[in-house]
Amino acid sequence: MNNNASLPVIEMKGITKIYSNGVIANKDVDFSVKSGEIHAVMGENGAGKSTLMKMLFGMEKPDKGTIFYRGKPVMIHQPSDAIALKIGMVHQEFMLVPSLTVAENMMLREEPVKGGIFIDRAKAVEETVKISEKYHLPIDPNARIIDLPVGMKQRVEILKALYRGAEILILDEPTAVLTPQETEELFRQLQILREIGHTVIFISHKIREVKQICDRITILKNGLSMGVYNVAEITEADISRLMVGREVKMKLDKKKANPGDVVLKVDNLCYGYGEGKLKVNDVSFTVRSGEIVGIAGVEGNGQRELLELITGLRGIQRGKVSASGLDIRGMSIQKIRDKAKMAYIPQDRLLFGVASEATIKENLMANRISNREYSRAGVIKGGKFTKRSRELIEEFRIKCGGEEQTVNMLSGGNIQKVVVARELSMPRNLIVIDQPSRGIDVGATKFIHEKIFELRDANAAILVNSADLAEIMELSDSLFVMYEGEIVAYFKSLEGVTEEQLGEYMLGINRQTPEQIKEAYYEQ
Amino acid sequence: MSNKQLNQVFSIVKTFLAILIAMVVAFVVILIVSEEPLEALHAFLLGPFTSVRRIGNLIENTIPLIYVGLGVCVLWATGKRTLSGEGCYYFGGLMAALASLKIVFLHGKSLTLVSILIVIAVCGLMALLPMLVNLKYGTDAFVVSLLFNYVMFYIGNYIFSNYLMDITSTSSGSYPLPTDSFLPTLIPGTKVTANLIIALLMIALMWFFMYKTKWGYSIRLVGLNPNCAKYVGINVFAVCMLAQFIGGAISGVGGGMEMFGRNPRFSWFSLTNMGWDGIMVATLAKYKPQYILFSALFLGYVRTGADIMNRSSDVASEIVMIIQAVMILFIGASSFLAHTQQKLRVKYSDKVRQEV
Repeated sequence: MNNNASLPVIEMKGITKIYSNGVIANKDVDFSVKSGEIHAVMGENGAGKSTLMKMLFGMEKPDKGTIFYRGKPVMIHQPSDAIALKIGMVHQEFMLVPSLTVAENMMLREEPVKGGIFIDRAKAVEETVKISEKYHLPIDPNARIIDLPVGMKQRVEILKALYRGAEILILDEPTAVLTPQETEELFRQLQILREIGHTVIFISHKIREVKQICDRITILKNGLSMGVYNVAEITEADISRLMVGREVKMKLDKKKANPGDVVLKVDNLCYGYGEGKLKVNDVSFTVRSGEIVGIAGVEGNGQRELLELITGLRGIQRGKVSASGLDIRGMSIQKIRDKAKMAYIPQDRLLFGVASEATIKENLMANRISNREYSRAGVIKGGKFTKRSRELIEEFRIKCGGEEQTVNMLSGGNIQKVVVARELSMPRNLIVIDQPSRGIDVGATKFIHEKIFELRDANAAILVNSADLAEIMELSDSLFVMYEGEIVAYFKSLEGVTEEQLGEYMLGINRQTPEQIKEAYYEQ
Repeated sequence: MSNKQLNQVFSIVKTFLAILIAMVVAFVVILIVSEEPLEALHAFLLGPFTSVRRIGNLIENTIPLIYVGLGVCVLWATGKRTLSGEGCYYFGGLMAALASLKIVFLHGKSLTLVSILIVIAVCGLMALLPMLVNLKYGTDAFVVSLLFNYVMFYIGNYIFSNYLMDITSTSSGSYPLPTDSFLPTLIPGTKVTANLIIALLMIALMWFFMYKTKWGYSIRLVGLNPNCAKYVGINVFAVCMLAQFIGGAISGVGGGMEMFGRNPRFSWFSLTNMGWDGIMVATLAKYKPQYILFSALFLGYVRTGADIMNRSSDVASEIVMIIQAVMILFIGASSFLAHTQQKLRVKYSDKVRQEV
């Protein structure tokens, strides 16, 4: 083993990949990993990290370039080819069957059989225990996936890859969904794997984590490789510069909040009857004008449902939501937008935010076609449309080749700016934002944060949800934590509050008293 | 070349290549089955242009294809595909015949106008049903509309045989349609009527509707991303229903117009297949109203040519079906030429790299 430790176990040479919408995901990228190292692939979102790894795992086909496995050129057409080469991948979205147990998921497609027909469940459990002990990754083989926290699901994915013989493990942004505590635990696991001689490829854009655990890094920017570096020999500032191209000052000037009247009032909201556990369980809070209220929590604890209830995308089952003094129950989405003056920036911009095959102009104008300024007797005023679109592109600094370009040609950050431009350019009392910076670059994130502060100072009431703890702590004036559909903690001010403290509430380890939680609701 | 331009070029090249391949296949079949293939080919390709009457035939065949093609453009624009064009075209013809035969207090062009308004209302409403049950009860819009076409046909056939059938006449069909309601003829010696002008206006109108009004905009947005449309506050239910009403009405008008100058009697004893032809025309036009004239003309030309060949040679007109099938196959095949396109994409990206 020592013999080939310095030899690259995987080498990718001159890899080019262009998607059918013309986006150049990778261009002449060279990449290599040595056996027994933790190698980070870094870059902003859209830099081509995931695509490069998907090609290594056989999920995408490179347009140019060759992949070498221990010096020999190999063709990886599909994931099973990669698995045969002892490569395993843990995706950002877990590929597990929620209703099955851990052991059943582990054995999917390789189920041990009894008498040629029946699945040998006892054997499956036994195998699972064996593999989990071998790698010191304890797991309950009989637990159902649906009942497991995110960190455990991820562990099942890692074990699944190991069970299939993986010695090279690709982890796609593994810490994105984890709390600080879970991240620590993951790092401990990865170090164990490295000690046994396994190779880990760690995709991330979090510099701090990479510095903490990785041996070497490959930095990608705009689909090009910016070089390979030993982690010990490169500073955080240098990494940041290579990733972004310039040093970004993240600290924003934030004035003190000056809250006014209550704009959004949520009373005893419940949602999810008939789905087992309630997704939103007796939630009450208020948002006042001129303040930013943040929601912290591990994803999947009811935040998304809560925001969709407030914005009218889901029907209210129980409880009450009033915005700008209007009870929104039964109101059409259009009315909520126009009468209650509510803007909503959704979490999934490609699913909800934009029609990606339509032009930038069409997307920017989608919420104002009925506005008398833009159409008369149903006929659209084309000139006004174009003029306003150009103004918005300018104002929100959307990088594009003109308003007639289709949205699918833009980068994630610029697509997000299209959504933000459309939503925030109408007069609004209340702005609901779900994951303002998910999957977008540092520059665009900063721009959007500044916009949020600007609107707050102009007296808008703002409700923000983000899975990124650092982001939510920076944005929020006050903040509540959601766990399993409930508010478990409320902080009137974030002064002196640490990430670890919030993490304990997010994991359900800790919980405030009902009196403390009640403070989230301001009586008028 | 940018990726957008590349996609546009390939879209055009693919369409023409599909047509070319289909024609070549048809020629090969003609060469194989015909005793005198050259005559057959001549009749097929040049036949439609040999006399005024035949040019007239070509235009007559094209006009209903324009209506049904436009119909499918709108029916399918919300992304929920229905086959309502078929039933609506048939029912439009029937309602036009019924109205012009049974409304006795109106005559001349006012009768034509009222009949067409009735067709618009009835066919538009009929087309709503499959979408309504889809949106309210989650049935499959495609299947329900397919089946509902037969319901429309049997209702129509009941009306036809009980109220319109002229049993005294030797030619089977309805009572003779009132000639004073017929539209004026444009080309003497043919049955090309003012319907041609109306059809052309309809193309312009539909283009305007789809691209310049807020309703057309909403319909397209629902088609491109229904989630996004819902989220920006568009009433997706109303928009889907509107598209069905308009698409059904246009298809119906297409059928109705056939009763004002082209046919002396209503004599449709089965569904006409025009709804399916509409899909063909719309597919060829990439579902854009502005291209419908070209695709309808092309199909009208192939139809007329095949008809002439059928009469003047030993090749049957069913050859058209082969052409249609091959064309649909290649136009619908999203991976057709995809490899070449991807190679060019990679080649052109080399320039982009320097800009990065």
